[in-house]
Amino acid sequence: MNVRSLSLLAGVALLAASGCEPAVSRGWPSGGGAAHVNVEGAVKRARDMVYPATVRVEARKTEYFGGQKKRIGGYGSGVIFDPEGHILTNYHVAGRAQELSCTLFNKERVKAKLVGGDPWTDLAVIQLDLDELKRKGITFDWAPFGDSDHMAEGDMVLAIGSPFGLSRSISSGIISCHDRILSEAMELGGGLETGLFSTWIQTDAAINPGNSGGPLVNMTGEVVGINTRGGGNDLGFAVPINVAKTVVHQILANGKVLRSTVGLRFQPLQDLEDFFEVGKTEGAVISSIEPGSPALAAGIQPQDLLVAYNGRKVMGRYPEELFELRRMIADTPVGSEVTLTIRRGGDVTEFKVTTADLTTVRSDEVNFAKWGLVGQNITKRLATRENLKDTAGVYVTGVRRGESAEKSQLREGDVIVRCRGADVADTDALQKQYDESVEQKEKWVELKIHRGPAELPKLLKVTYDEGPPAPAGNGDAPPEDGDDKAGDTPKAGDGTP
Amino acid sequence: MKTRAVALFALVPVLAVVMSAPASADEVADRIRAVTETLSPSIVTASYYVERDDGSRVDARVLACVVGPGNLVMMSSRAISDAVPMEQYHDFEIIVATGSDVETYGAEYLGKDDTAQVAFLRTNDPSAPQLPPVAFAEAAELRRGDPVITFGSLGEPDAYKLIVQMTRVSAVLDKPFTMGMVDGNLGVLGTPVVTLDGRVVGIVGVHVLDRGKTAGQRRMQPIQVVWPTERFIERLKTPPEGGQRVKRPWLGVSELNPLTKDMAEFYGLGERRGVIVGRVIGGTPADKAGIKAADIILAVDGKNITGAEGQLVPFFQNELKEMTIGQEITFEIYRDAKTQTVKVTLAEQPKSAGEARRTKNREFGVTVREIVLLDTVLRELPRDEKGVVVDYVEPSGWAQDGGLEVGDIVKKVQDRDVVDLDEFTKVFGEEVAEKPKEIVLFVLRGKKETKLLRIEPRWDAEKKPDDSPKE
Repeated sequence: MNVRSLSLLAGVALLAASGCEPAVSRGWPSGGGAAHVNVEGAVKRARDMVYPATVRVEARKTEYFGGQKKRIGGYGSGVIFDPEGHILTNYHVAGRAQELSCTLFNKERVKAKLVGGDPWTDLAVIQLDLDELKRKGITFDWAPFGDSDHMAEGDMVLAIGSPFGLSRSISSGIISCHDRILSEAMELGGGLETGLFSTWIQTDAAINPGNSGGPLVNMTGEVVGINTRGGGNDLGFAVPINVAKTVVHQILANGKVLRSTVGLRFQPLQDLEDFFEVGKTEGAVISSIEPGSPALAAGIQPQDLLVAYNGRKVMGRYPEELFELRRMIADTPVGSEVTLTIRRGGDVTEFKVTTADLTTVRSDEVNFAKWGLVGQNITKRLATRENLKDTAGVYVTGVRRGESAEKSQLREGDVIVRCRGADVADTDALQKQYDESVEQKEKWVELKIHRGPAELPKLLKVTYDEGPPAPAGNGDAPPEDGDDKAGDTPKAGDGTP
Repeated sequence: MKTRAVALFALVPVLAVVMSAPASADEVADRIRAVTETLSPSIVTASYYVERDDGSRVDARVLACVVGPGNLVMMSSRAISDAVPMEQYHDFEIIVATGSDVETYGAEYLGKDDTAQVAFLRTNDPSAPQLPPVAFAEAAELRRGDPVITFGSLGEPDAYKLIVQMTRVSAVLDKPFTMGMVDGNLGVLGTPVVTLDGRVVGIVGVHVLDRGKTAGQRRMQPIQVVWPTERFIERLKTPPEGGQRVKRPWLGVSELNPLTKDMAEFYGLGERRGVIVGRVIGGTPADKAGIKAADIILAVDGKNITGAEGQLVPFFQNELKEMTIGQEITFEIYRDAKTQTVKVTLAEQPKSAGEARRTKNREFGVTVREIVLLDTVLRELPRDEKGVVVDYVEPSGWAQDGGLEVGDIVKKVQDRDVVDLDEFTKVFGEEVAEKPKEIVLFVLRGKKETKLLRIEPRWDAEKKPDDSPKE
């Protein structure tokens, strides 16, 4: 916080203490002596500490839809959290952006770059262009993170951001629920999942499209959440700041967040205590084990109870507790050996398991222009979701209408495993084949694909009539003729459930 | 002056055509009446009802015709669904209407043949008069432009009076075999199709027409066709018995794709065509014969697979349907740049979901059935997957409240394994006999997710309505 804010804070505190300022009741019960809260003063204090650190974020990204490259614009909010100009916002605002621009509290516009994102918590860190700031002599404030673990229902909060693009808006409300579950995993666009590793702070402070990524602030002026979803009708949801702290730490250190998985899926113990003949708080029920996972290999079975993780007692009676459990597992460094204490029947056994990388379903997409298809590598998470045997091959994410792949009846979801007689391990291997084939102007390209459990040969018929072939590349390539330009009018970047 | 002369000249050829037409409007009417009079004693209505899972019933009346001695009656095979077990079909009867006189006779359902698109019943009431069978022409010999007559019925309120309609053959399809498309409407599925000169050339059938690709999607459209006698005449001579479905010979492959012209050219197969096998199901005749995924089948017993791209797979499937169970056939296969022959012994087509045995528990509001091969194929499960499949869950019943869903495979009841239907019936029966306060099931949902479901029976709640079908 800079000196200017501090002095303002001090001033207000002095006034309140002197008793000169009348209490603005606004319908709140008055009286109670020392317990009486000067509501308006508190709100203004909170405002002063965080408001100057909030930004409006505008993002431009180029994404593939059905094989077609499209430019999309969107906007949201963010909060500057350190003197280096790092901003915390939502992944769905900035996590896949190629161009970022922030409008500061003082109305100055500065470019920003993406440092890293984490779709699992829908958070992203971007950074203001410090050179531009220095050159233009622009200053900024930053706001401290609070502690979301000590927030409770009824606590007053403010939401600051740019609802519908209306920058620098503040709305107020209370914490409606401090550990809300929406559903286990929600779609974040592009098949990504979010919400598995934490519960939400629910508030009735107005959260609208455009508020995404902005801070949820308590009455001591600390950021306690990142506003992420609006549910309409006074239902807004923020990611707790304590969840964000770990994420921010990893993104600043590595540019991304690594999470572990052992392949366990849980269901609450509640109501099953008699069935398992255990006490109320003994562990979490393992409902399912992912194929090919470390837990499966170790011999853990569905219906086992996980009673301790690395010696730490597991709480899994309620669905809310499972989010904490999943986070505990996910936060373990990838590749660590962990001890799972399992109760099966009357016996308690310790299993030693090495955690694997959780990954996400997405991987960089590569456009094979002459073939009319877009594909990506198969991550472990994608293989699990699609029930694939392994991660070898290229997963087709888009097939362009009227072009070669579509004419050969290739579809999204097909996995290319062989090309021109050679095995295809990943997009690099396929790109090599593509480059060779295009250079030789090959009319026919033979592929072998997997479609679910089926295996089929496919033959691409390639034409080379217009000009030099476009290079295989990722989304950074300049748009080709006929691309949809979404225009510069910003659209709501908020993900409403 | 000149134009009038032209008009007169134009009129002459028209007049000539009209005057040399084969039958005048009056003659056509006479022929329609004659055909109807000849056939109507053979046209009857089959009646039955289907008991649905929730206990309600659906009444059915299907126009049918007598095709053999002893009142062997034939109707469309589509009247009987594969998804509904035969035990849920009740009260088969034949309704015979003569003028305003309507009589109903009990009947026995004999079975159906999906390939031939026909199903059979026979009256089992000794007081039923012996009705004359339809005389089918041995071969249809359809030609474009032929007028054909078909039938419908006004139903019970009008004493099942016959409706007659006439339309013309607009095209004769020849792949996968001969069928006639018409330019108007055909009558009820399974009823006779007659030419003006009284030849019964077939029945009304269904064909799924490949409409080609629109925006990358292949569009398939079911249409009514003249289903020529060749398609079913053999089955008339040997109708099924005991209410069974006539089994088709089965190979055990799926995900068939056509071998396109481009691919044939690329592989150096020239004018040859075929089908690409996408998937070979484990343990099937195809698997045992060594057929592999991505194999291309070019010929069946020496007969080349031919046709346009959209016709290749139906051609191949139809060739198989013409064979018999246990028949050994030879495929010519293209694999790894060379052709080879493979001998396959066809097996019987596996049980459908509707044919699977099932156990119904009205108290809990759940019906479970055996796992059939198709379940394991669609859900990518091992062939010998253990358990039972939930086939029906009653809305707001105990099972549904506990979270049980149609499609769930129950593998354990109260932590006791249930490998098949008999074991489930036994174990579940034993467990509920105790009137426990909860029943916990371990199920497989979808392709690979398992979970525990807790059903809380409401033993003290009001008694459930009894099982008997409603009138």
